[in-house]
Amino acid sequence: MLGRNSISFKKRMNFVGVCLYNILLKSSRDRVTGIHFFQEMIVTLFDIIDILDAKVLVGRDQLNMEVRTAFSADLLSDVLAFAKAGSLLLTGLTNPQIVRTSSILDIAAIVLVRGKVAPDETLRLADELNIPILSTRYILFETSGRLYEHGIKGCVEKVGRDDYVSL
Amino acid sequence: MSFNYEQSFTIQGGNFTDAGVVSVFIKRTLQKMGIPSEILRRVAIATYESEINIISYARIGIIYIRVTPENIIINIDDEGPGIENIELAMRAGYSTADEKIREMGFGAGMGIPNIINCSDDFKLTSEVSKGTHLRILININTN
Repeated sequence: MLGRNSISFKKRMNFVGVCLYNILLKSSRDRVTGIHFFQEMIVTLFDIIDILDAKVLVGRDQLNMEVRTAFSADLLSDVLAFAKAGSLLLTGLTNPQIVRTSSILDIAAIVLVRGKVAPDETLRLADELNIPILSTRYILFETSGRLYEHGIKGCVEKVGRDDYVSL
Repeated sequence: MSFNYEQSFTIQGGNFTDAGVVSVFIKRTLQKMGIPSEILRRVAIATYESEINIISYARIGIIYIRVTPENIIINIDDEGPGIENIELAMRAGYSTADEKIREMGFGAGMGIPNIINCSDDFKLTSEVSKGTHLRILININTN
């Protein structure tokens, strides 16, 4: 009897726990609290290699680096205008400017998409400036989507003014 | 904290392979001085965009940077074609970039708007077929 009671008590508490969990999770998703209480996803470059079936071109010694946000673009002008420090840069560009731009912005690491392999001068510069470069055969859309599924978010959601009306 | 530093850098127009070298150097120098990272980021973006502009459009240009305890002043002077319509150049998305610049990933017309976003005070003057002068001021808020 006591055993049964204690199980149902446990079940009840479990139910309360799940409710609380959902409320907190929802509020954190809604950005009411801004803090994710549960399921804080930690994604490292090691995980990203798995997720994207990627190769490491530069920075084998930095693969335990954690990443939470990313920015995708093939236009460095836009990277400079919108990317945030500590983010991943997903791009199809391979020139040395991607490394210098990343260094200027404190980008954590670069992921080359569509199977791009960077020229030696880009790799040398990345090595010198300590910026890891991975390469994946997935296209930019797939790369972004797969990382999003694993909890990596855009470093910004939208840009421009709220009253912007598209024609 | 007190910061005191000034230096000038000459940049050759058309030297695309070295685009960004000066800005990365400036950023590292200021980082070592202990400039707060948010300020550092704005200075780095402003100098980098300016450097790209000189390389893309001008014959030669000089980036002068002065750091005082209160603010950072960046003066960019170039000899080149100048800007015909400053109002247009300041508009996001407007660009006169050629194929070479776009191939490198630049020329989306975000350069000057981005510099403006990074500055506390910004002045752009230009004389067609002579050159362009840019003055950028970024305050250091150490509070």
